[in-house]
Amino acid sequence: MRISTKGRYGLRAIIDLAIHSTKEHVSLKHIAERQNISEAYLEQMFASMRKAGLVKSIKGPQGGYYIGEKLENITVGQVLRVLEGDMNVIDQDTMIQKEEKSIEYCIQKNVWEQMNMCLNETVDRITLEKLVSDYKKLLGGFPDMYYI
Amino acid sequence: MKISSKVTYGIISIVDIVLNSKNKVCNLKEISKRQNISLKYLEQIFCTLKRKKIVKSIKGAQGGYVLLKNPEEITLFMLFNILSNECSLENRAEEISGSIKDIFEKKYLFEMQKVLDDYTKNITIYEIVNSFYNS
Repeated sequence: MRISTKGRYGLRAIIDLAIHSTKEHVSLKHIAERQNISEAYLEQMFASMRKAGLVKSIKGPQGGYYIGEKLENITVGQVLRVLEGDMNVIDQDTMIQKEEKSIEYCIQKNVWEQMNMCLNETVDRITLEKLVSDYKKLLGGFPDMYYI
Repeated sequence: MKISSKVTYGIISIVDIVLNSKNKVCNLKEISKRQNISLKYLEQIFCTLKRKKIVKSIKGAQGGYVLLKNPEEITLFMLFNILSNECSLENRAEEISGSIKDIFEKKYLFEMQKVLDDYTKNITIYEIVNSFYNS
């Protein structure tokens, strides 16, 4: 089981945006350069994130994006759900029609539904604010390495 | 973030064996009928399970498969690792280079993976069989 590239790149891009758009909006070109992600791919992902209200855009040649919400209100779960669809370990539609006496139904109730809950709780607990501050700490911590 | 059908069918068929084999050899045709899983697919799954010593095959007309481990020894974590084709995040981490953003990415991906791993390490086939009897 793994998170798709779209989810990983999207999360990386929105963290980059959060760090760099504190004063003004940021163009996708700059995010593309810093994060080494193609601009066309970023455009796709930002269109979905804009629709969901996670980022806002300013049009025109000097345009770009900025974060649409307070960082503490955006969770990793929201971002991943916008980019990847639901965060369930088994597709919801294959989960519905099951005979109640079947092994499959029993596993669905006792395992998959619990795993979905676990996973969703985890990603909803991590906010962008937390990730940005972790990232800054990590950046701040690195120069020390030169003194060893 | 989806679990493959190979994993889900693998779990279902092992639970089926525990429920129905009554310590005898279990043949794939019967599992296929009871669980509505194609025989070809089951053969593939059991080939992998056999290689990883979860089941043993018995040849001959009355042949089939028997479990090599007790239901309480088989965790879902084990089956995930054996039956899923993707390598886990832990292995993939090797591919990610050492730049700061990659280290950071590893960190939160690990957090998610760890939650799922801890969960699946704690559930065994025995527990699923029990909850089936209790339902």
